[in-house]
Amino acid sequence: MWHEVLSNLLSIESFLALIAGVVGGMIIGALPGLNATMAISLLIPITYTMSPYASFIMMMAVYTSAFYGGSLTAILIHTPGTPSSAATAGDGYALTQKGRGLEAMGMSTVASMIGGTVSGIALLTLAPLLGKVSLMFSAPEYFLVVIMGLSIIGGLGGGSAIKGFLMGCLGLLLGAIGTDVITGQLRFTFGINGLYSGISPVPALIGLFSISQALILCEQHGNFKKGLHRVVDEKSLHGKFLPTRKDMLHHLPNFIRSSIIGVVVGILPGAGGDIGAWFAYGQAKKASKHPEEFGKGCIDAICASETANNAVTGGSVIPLITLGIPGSTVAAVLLGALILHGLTPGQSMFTKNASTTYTIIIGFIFANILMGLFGICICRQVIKITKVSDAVLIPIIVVLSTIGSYSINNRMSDVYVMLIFGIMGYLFVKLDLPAPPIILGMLLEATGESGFKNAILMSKGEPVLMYYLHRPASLILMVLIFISVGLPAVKSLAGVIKKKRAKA
Amino acid sequence: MKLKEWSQDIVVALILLILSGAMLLNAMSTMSAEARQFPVLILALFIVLSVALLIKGIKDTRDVAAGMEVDSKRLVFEQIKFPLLAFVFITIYVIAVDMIGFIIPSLLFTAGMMWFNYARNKFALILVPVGLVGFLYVLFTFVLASRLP
Repeated sequence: MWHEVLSNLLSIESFLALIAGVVGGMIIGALPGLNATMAISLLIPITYTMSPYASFIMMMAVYTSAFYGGSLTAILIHTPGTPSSAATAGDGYALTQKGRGLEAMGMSTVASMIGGTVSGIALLTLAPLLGKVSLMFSAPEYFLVVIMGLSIIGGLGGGSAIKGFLMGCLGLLLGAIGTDVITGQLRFTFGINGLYSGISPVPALIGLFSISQALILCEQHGNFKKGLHRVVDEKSLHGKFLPTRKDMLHHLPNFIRSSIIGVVVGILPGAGGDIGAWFAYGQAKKASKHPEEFGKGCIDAICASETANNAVTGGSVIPLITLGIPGSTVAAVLLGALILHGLTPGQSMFTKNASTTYTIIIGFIFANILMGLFGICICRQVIKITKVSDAVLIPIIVVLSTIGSYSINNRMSDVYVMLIFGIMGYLFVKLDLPAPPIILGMLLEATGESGFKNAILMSKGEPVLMYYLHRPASLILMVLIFISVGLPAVKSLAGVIKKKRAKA
Repeated sequence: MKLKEWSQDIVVALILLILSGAMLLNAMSTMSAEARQFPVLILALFIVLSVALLIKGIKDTRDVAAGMEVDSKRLVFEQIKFPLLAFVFITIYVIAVDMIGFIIPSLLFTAGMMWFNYARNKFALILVPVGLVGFLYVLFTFVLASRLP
């Protein structure tokens, strides 16, 4: 197997995918308004004809590099390229104002590389162990896994938990559209021929994440009219770039602590890079001898937040490939790509598809190292690209989305699906309704439904709930679902009580 | 409670309730008991959650009327005016791609959208559409051996 992994890694296809992913991810991340979710959803159709390992190496490289790219604009123009770089923005920009912008970028480069590499190693070592957990599951448990995934993404995805769960249910209903595989009957097609084979998830996710993003960028029309565009002050880029050996030794405990925080937060489904970065930032502040410097331009803060947000990337993929539960929005999109490439999350990723899985994981570790090396060489050039106006980016996103949606099945009906989901995605943002649970619901509907129906058959007349309660693995999953649904409810209740007390 | 003062959650919940009602009606009238088993289960949950959102919306509206701070967004037409206009352009573009093909509508759409958003540099107005469409043509036709619309 390892011989095959090595030959996969050394193939020209993997090499080009790695470079394109790293450079593309850095650019996408550095452009405020564009993010890894959007980039990966656009990449799915482009990588469709590639081998699964090369396409996932590219997507994973984009994922980690976008987090790093996002820190560059956070440091230079106080505008995080991605939400995960928000914790870096305050201290990074303060350092830029002090004339230490280049030093902040250097620390961000090294920290991102270390965090990402550690998360890759965690993925390599922890994922096969967790994969064995999936052996305890059979059809009834897979129904509960689907419910758990939806409840976690819905509950922790931000905003109201009710809205998250609602969107998850909407996703399941959209996934049910088309021909029922068991009875052969049409469901919710309303006489529309294009819906007979169901809604293709890739055009739907391109619409939800890319077209909606293009429409969000259009809100700046007033600024475009006034000629207001991003301004990057390159004059502040002087002084030392890379930390010295002494600096590295000084920051070593911070690197270790923040990497661990990032990986653990990444494994927790629903918590993304932003939560990891803020958590590590808080812990670094507690551990610092000069906590008063945090927020006013502290290099320790950049070290913590950038190490952690990149450490989240590998961590969030662990529950995805082992149990099929995405740890973040990007991982939910990656789940769509896994299914499209015929890969099933679970133990088969480490048995039948082991060479592909290990190629992807080792490729991901290489991507993080390459990201650091490229960052050292070209981060100043990447900054120049951020000067490109959003007015130019909008039509580019739309055209890429259109061709991407079409190329999956070579049919225009998918492009119309993208269009409908695009306006839906935009209105959902405006109405404060989270979009990721919809995609997750659509992707997991088939697994959930077959698990549910099999559970009824396997219970042989016994009440289904009782049947579930007799199964230890189901019992554990039900407790986890209870916690994931109950936690937001308790939080919300605590908020109401706090409000009432404040009012009294 | 005036219509204007309603929390947007009330409107969302009402739309979702109408949608779920229509889907439930469709499921009960067109599907066999086996085929509708799972969708009806999800629809029941969907209706319960929509009602919960409706109650939350009513509570938020009352809180706002009582002068309390409520953590919810409000859709402002002025903010979504240009994105909606852009969406109309995108729809026209997709229809044109369907009818004429990919290359010419994409060239016109890219340049037109840039013009609409006040990117008036003549060099960019020519180079970006030509570069983008040329790159995608080469990528999809020769590298990925895929078909363009």
